[in-house]
Formats: sequence, C-alpha cells, structure tokens
Amino acid sequence: MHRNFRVARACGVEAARDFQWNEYAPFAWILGVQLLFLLLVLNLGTTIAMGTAGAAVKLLQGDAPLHYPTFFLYLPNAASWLELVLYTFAGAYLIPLSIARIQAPMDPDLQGPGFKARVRRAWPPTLIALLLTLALLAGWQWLFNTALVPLIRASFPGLQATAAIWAGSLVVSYCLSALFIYVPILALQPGTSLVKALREGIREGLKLFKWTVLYLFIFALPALPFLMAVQLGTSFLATRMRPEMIAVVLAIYAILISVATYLTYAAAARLHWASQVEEA
Amino acid sequence: MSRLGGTTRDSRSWLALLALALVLSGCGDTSLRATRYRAEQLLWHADLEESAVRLRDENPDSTTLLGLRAPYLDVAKKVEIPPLSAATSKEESTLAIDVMRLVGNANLQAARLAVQANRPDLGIENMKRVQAMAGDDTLMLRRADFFLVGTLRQYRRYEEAVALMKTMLERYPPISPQSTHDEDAILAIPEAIVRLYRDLNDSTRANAALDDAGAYYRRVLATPHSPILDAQVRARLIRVELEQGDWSRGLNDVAILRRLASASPSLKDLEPEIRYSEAKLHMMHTGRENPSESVALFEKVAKDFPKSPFAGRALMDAATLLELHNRLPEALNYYRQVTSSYGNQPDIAPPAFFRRAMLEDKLGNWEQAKNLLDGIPVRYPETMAALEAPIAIANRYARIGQADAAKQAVRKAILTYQGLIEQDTTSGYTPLYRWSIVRCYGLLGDQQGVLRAVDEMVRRDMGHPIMEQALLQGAQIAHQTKQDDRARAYLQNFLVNYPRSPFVPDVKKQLARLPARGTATKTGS
Repeated sequence: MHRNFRVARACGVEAARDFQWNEYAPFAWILGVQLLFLLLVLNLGTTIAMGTAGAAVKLLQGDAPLHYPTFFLYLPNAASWLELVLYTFAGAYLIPLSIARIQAPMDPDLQGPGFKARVRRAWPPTLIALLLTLALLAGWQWLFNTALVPLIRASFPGLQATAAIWAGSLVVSYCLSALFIYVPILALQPGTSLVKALREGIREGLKLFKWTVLYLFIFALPALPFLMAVQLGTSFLATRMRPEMIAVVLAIYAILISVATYLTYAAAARLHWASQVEEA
Repeated sequence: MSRLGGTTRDSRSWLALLALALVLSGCGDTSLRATRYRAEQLLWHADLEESAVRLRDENPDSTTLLGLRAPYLDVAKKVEIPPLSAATSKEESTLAIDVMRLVGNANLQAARLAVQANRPDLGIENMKRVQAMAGDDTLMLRRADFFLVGTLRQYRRYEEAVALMKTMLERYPPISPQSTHDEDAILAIPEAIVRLYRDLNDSTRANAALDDAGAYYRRVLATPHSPILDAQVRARLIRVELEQGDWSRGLNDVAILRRLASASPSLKDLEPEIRYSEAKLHMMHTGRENPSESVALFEKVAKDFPKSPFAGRALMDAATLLELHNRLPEALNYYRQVTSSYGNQPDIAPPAFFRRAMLEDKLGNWEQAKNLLDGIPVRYPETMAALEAPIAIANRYARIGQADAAKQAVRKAILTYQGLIEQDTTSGYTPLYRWSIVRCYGLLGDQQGVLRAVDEMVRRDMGHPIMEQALLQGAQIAHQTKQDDRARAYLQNFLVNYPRSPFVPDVKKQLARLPARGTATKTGS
C-alpha cells in the first residue's frame, strides 16, 4: 500500500514535471475551440459571433438566451455542453493522440510508422468509453436530482445544502469518470481489440481507482473554485459584477481543466506503465 | 513529419468549418439579432452607469444627470434601426421592431434624465424623436405619449398635457387585457384629467372632464369588446356615475356589470367593486332617511373583502354618512378603522386622517387630534389634507379664543408649507402650498407678507388656476396699502393670463378705478 502510494505519487509528480507542449497539443486544440467560442460570446453583438456562437446556443436553447445580459446566465450550461461534445467526439481522436505522444518514450513502436495506425485503432473504444461515461453521468445526475437533492435540501440550510449538492454531484461524477480513463490507454496497446480495450480499460480503472480519483481531484483542484463560482454564483457574477465576468471565469476554468485533463491522462498512462512493469 | 502533416490537414478541416460558419453567419436574421443584442448591451451598460452614479449620490446634480444621458443617447447613435420593407419576413420585422423599441427606450431614458436635470426642452425633444421613429408601433407611441404627458404635467404645462391626453383617447383604442389584474392605462386617462383639474382646484373644468369621461366610457362600450375589457370600462363608468350622483344610470350599469360577472368566472374579482357600488347607490337613494342600512352594506363589503381597495372606501363612506347624520362616535370609529387598516391607500387615508382629527377634537380629544393633524403633511404630502391640516390647527385655537397660540400655529404652518415646497420644488402642489402661505400671512394680518408671497407666486405659478385668487387678493391688499402700481400690475397680469375668467369684467372695473400710474413698488413679475 505504502509502496503503491509512492509509485502513484512518483507518476503524478513526473507527469506534472515532464509537461510537454507536443503531448498537450491535442488538448490545446479542444481548449482553442472553447476559447474561440468564449471570445465570440464576448462579441455577440457582431454578425460573425451571432452567426456562430449565437447560432450554436440557439440550436440548444432557442431564441430566449440571445439577449443581453440573459445570454450570460445560459452560458455556463452552453459552455458545459460544448465541453462535453468536444471532449467526447473530438476527444475520441485527440485523447489517444495525446496519450500516444506521452507513451512514445516508453514504447519504441509509437515512435515509428505504427503511431498513426494505433491512434486510429484507439478512437472507437475511446469514443464508446466516453459515451458510456456520458450515459453514466446523465444517469447519476437524474438519480441524484430525484432521490438525493430533496433529502439534502431537507437536511441542511440554504447555502450549506447548495454546497453539499454541488460537492456530492462533483465527487461521484469524478469517480465515474475515473473508471473509464484507462480505456484509451489500453486501446493504444498493440494487438488489442475494441472489446478487449473496453474490458481491460475498465478493469484497470477499477484496479487503480483510488489513485486515478486522487489524480483527478489534485489536478482539477485549481479549476474547482472557478467551476463553483460559475455554477453557483452565475446571477451574482452577472448582476453584482459584470455579465462578461462569467465568460472570463469560464475561460480560466477551461484553461485549468484542460491542463488538468492532460496531466491526469499523463499520470494515468505512467501509472499503468508502472503497474505493467511491476506485474512483469 | 507525418504527424505534422496530419495536424496541418486537421487544421485545414477546422478552418474550412470555421469559414463555412462565417459565411452562414451572414445569412438570414443573424445580423438583426446581433444588432438587437448590441442595443441591449449598450442600454444595459447605460443603466449600469446610472446605477453606479446613483449609488454614490442619490440626488445627482443636473450636470451629472445630463452627463448620464450620453450613454443612453449612444444607443441611438451606434445602433441603426433596420428598415422594414414588403419583402421583410415576419421574424425579421419582429427583430427590427425589437431594435426600434430598444432605441426608443434609450431615448425615453435620456428624456427622463433631461427632465430630472430641469431641462424639459431636451426631454421633450427626445420624446418627439421617439414619436417620429415609432411609425405605426402603437406600443412605442403610447410609451412616448405617456412619458410626455408626465413631463408636461411636471412642468405645469397643463393645457398641453390635457390636449395630448385627449388625442391619446382618440388615437389608442383600449386593449383587451389577459386577466382582470391587468388594465390598459388608456382607460385611466379620462379620470386622470378629472384628477388633474381637481388638483388645480378647478372644479368647473373637473366637472366638465367628469362628463367627458362618462361620454368616453359609454362610447367605448358601444363597440363590442372582450368581457374583461367590457367589465373594466363599465366599472370605471360606474365610478364616474357615482361621482356625478347619477343614481339611475349607475344602478343600471351595476346591474349589467353583475350579469357580466356572473356569466364569466374570470370576472369574479370584480365582486368587491360591484358590492361597493351597490352599497353606494343604496346610500345615494336612501342614505338621507335611513343611513343605518347603507352603513351595514358598507360594513359588509369591508368585512367580506378586507384586502380589496374597496374595503377602505366602504368604511370611509360609512364614516362620512354617519358624520353627516351627526352620529359622531360611530363615525369616529370607522375613521379609526380606515386610518389603522388602510393607511397606505392614498385616495382615502389622508382625508380619513383629517376627518378623524376633526372628530377627535369635537369629541374632546384635542391632543390626539393635534398629533394627527401634525402628522398629515409628513405622512401624506401632496394631498389636500396636507394643505388643510396646518391651518386647521390655527383655526381651532382661534375658535376657542387663544389668539397667541393661533398665531404661533399659523407661523408653524408657514414653515410646514415652506418645508413641503423644499421637499419637491417641481411638485404640482407647490402653487397650492404657496397659496396656503398667502392665506397664513392673511390670518396673521401681515400685509407685506401676503404681497411677498403673491409676488413669489407670480414668479413661479403663473398659469395655475389658483393664481386668479392670488392676483385678486394681492391687488386688493396692494390697493389697501396704497401701492396702486403694484395692484395695477397684478390686475394686468390677471387680464393677460386669465382672459376667459368670469372675473374679467370686475377686474377691468377695478383697473379703471385705480389712480394714474406712479412710481410705486414693482412686483416680481
């Protein structure tokens, strides 16, 4: 146990210390789209922004949000949808790409022509894993809102209940995500199949569950206050400060969570490699 | 190298998608939506700027207020109202109207600030701009007109205000509301004209306006409308008829209103008003001989609908009826109920406080009466009760022979009126406060004080109906104190400003009797 912790810590520290732009670049692409969206949102009075970011929001929520400053109250929701779509669909290709670059120094085959084929093979299981994560998260949210939220509201006073609901929802969501983090890592292994990648990935997720959850929380820690501010204090930011502050806070959150996601995958890839070496 | 190539191809696809989005963004109503958003943004930031200034200083000076107009005017400068053509789709025309309303609203806010900064000329200019840009948009035109009426009234351009209100009645047919809780503001205009004349102490024109109001409501009822609008108009007509003392018509309209209300469940909210009107009609018919029956009906209205505004009115009417029949303790009891339970109802609370004070005094509780009278100008400024209460205290002391106390009360009354004027220098009540000061100086026998106060009124309140009396009184006292030039100036002012007054022949006679022009004291005019 003590040794496992030392290994997990070493993997996490090395992931953070050995940050490589080349490895982070696929996440930067996702981040770039998110920031572009927020930039457009800040200029929604222009035709270009209204035709792109505005049109996307209209597609989701109709014409009602396309007013100032109401738009910014809908923005956290729209931004989280964008994040989900980008990390699920673009991420299905970009996450294995980043992991392949992280694993390349440990896997000589990934330094040669096999790189592209293995990344290409990895996206279907990754996509399925990400969709499964989404489905589980949606199921959990439904269960949480119908069964637990009324209970929490009845047990705690206003602000405490709101904070408890937010924290409870977040902890379980991170735990569910931790189960599927190893699917793209396993999907990049030579000679793996879609089913095998999913099965082995989930098994690895269960095996290294506590360390993975730990990575998720530690790396996401700097982003969480911003997430909390934007999710619980939307009206406060819009009315007491300026509505545009919501977009700024969302941009900071997007940057921090993008780096955190990269670091989580980098640490998990190293932990998986260390665990394989140990088994061998 | 191949990885780099792959990334470049990815980048190209992203760029192609983005370019497609940019091309598509220019299509359809996107540009109109963007314009609407920009207008909303500018208006919101103008509001924010004003709120920030008002947080620092609740009553900013006129320079600051005029400075605050700039962000509102920017909306009109930076946002172009999209033109509408026959080819414009419904969606696009809705958006274009939204933009026009936002720009119009910004202009109205700029007008509001100009009016607050004592620059009605700028305000009226803004409002006229709104009227010009509104085209056929009745909503915007109505808003601009209502705003203009308010401004004209504030600046005592009463004739223009009434003329505009009359044209509004012609131009804007009343709109059927969704529920009985909403009512088209147009319906309130006829009674607003009546109130305006009453506030001006001009009972002749108030009565004529009341007749006009009745005629307007009957005209509206002559065309078919939704049951809610019909009921609302008829309810207003009944109020007019009650004020006119037209018992037979009132009874007939109440019966129609009751039938309407029973036929439609959405009109059940009218029940308190119907019951109150029935009680009032009953009072008009049998109140003189048998007040107890009417009092019982009024009390039942108050008991059955304690939260309705008609509950307070019913209690007030019961009290007035009992007072007329000299049943003072019972009347006092009802006045007490009104003042304790309906103190926030502006139409009945001030007179109820005043009448209660009078009865408390009659029944031997002067201290309580004095406290009530002292409190009226503080609690209900800009009411007739606030005008009468300070003088009532002085009159009471004079009545019981306490001349010194009476004089002291009159001096205190002058200070009260001066305080009320300072509280709101643009209030429509300031001419009446100044007239009360003239009366106070008259009670004190201070003829110079009277003349000073009349001069102040000549400077500030010319055109107000109360000025007729002020000028006549000023001329009389100036003549008595051998200031015939001053008297002549007052009378000439009268002829110039009130050519249609019934006193004109008398004034001309007085002028003819005055000795030839000398070099006496000048008036402020």
